[in-house]
Amino acid sequence: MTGVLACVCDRAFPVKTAASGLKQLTGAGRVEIVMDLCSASGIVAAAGKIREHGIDRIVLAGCPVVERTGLAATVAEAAGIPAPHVVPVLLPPNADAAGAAPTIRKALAALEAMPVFETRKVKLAQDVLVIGAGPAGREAARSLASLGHAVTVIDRSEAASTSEAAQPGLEVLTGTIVVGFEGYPGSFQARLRRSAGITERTFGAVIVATGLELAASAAAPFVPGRIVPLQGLIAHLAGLRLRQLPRSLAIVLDLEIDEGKASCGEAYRVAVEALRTYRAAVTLLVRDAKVAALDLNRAFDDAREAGVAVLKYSGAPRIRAGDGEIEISARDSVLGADVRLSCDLVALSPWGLRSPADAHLAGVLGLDLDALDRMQDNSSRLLPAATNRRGVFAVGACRGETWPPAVLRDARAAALEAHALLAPRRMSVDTAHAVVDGDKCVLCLTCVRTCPFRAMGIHAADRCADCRPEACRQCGICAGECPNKAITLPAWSDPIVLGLAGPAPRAAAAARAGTRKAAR
Amino acid sequence: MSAKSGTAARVSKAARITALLCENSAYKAYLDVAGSPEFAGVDVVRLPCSGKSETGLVLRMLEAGSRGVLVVGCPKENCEFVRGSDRADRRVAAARTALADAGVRADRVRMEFVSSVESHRLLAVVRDFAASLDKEATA
Repeated sequence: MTGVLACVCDRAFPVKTAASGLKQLTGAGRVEIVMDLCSASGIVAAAGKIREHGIDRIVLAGCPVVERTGLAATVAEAAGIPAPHVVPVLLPPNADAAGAAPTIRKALAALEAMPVFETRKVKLAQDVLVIGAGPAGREAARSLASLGHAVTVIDRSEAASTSEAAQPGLEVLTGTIVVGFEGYPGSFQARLRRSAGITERTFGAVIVATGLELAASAAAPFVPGRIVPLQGLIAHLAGLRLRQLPRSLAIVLDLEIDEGKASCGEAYRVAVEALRTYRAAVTLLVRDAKVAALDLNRAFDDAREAGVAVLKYSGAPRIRAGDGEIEISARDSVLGADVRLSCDLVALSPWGLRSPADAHLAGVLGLDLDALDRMQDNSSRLLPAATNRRGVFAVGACRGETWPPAVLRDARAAALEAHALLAPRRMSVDTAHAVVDGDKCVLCLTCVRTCPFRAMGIHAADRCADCRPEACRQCGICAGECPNKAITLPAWSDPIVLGLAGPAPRAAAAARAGTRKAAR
Repeated sequence: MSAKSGTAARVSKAARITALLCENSAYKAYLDVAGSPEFAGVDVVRLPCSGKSETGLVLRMLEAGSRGVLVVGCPKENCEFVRGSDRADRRVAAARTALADAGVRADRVRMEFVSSVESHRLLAVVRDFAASLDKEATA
């Protein structure tokens, strides 16, 4: 039965719509008025009405919040019906039944043209795998264990801390790596290799917290006693006699790639100490001074107030250690001019952040790396901790967050997200996912390569590509890419997209939608 | 194909523009300005992601008499489906190559990136696209 749920609230959208009038004008099977659909109670009420009256195709009518946000999908999930069966529409403010009817009729017609989908529930494993026993990994593991999940923490190093193992529900495996990984949110099969051999375990979610491997920077031309690493700067100054102390000091960051917040924070601290304790004139050369974190802005202001000169440069600075002073030439991006700077001592940030081991792990886990080989693809939609693979989260330094308070916050956020995913114990999956026509598929693997969410795989028995509904987000990229047009997204087939589809006989539509579904 | 695209190349100024809009960004931007005159000659097609726009579908729309096809997706680093806009961009480039190979002006297909709050930019994009097609028609 088709139905209309009209949202009424006194704030944004005073609909003066009588349910009976709407029902008559639109021909909907059922019309219900809901209060505050944008609130949790409104969603629960809507889901209750949908179930109570057995409505399976719904038009959600309301204010822009109802129409623009992902509310339709939320209501569909709460009511246990496929997401494409809920269509949100915008009602004009102060609309009466006659004014609202045309929009709703149009949406009802679109729903009639939509194939019939089904939902089913899949079980979610409650175990969580945490890769990396550093601060971020341990924080995530503790949070998850306290939320009632069985957590396995693995670390590549034999020397990793196992102090958390005492906590109930928490297991730490040192000297363990992931060598195989497949599956879908709620059921990932990970092959873990230890000295004892390979074990296969099932996890509902995975948190990657491998940290960061600091590689020696190729761009840093160190000269002992004159061009030194930033890390050892204070120790170096402390070891000097009074007469040997440098009068001027330059700290150069961002040499190879942009520094993270941690090294910026460290540089601000070191600069102030060199200036206050060792009386050196300090110049800080940065491409971009990071201030966007807790207390980091204050640390930067403190450094400026203490008298640290900050110079923003672009391009690559040239550092030459001649006989006397060390000369730095750089392009000042604020002045837009080349500047030259002489000083007695230069401190460089000594690390490059690329980590080949991470790239390998990312390959095993099927994660996309960003331009700096970090574990999270460069998309604001993934923030804070999500990756392209649903159910796999990246936290801390391996996703580029190095500021300690933010790292711990990351870890807790990821633990909560994993908990939110797994806690319902069952996940609703509908059949509106990508459908592969086995006769047309030539196994070119274009879909496997282009699916951002690793939802496409190979169906061994049918010898064709195969979509896993648990991971499919129904974006249609595979359907767009498939060179043989073997893949369709039933809710967005060409006739539906072009508005040419008429009301399809339901049985036939279900049969069409089920072409590949039958194989499972 | 060549005969058909020859027909498409002589398409009249009165023909309509087709805009494929990603429902997560461009379509939301469109909803705010749906009534404006810029969209009077535009057929709007809603897609779940600009990455769903198939090269074949875009070319068929031109064959069917569309004046030009505008694909509008989320800004690349803000794509709802992470890589959809990027894939669409590549595919539009492929469609343009195919058009150029067939002797049709490649700029009849264009990819743009507009976020859901940039209605004004969407209007500018549509105006600009229509103007560029006009120029082609007079040339």
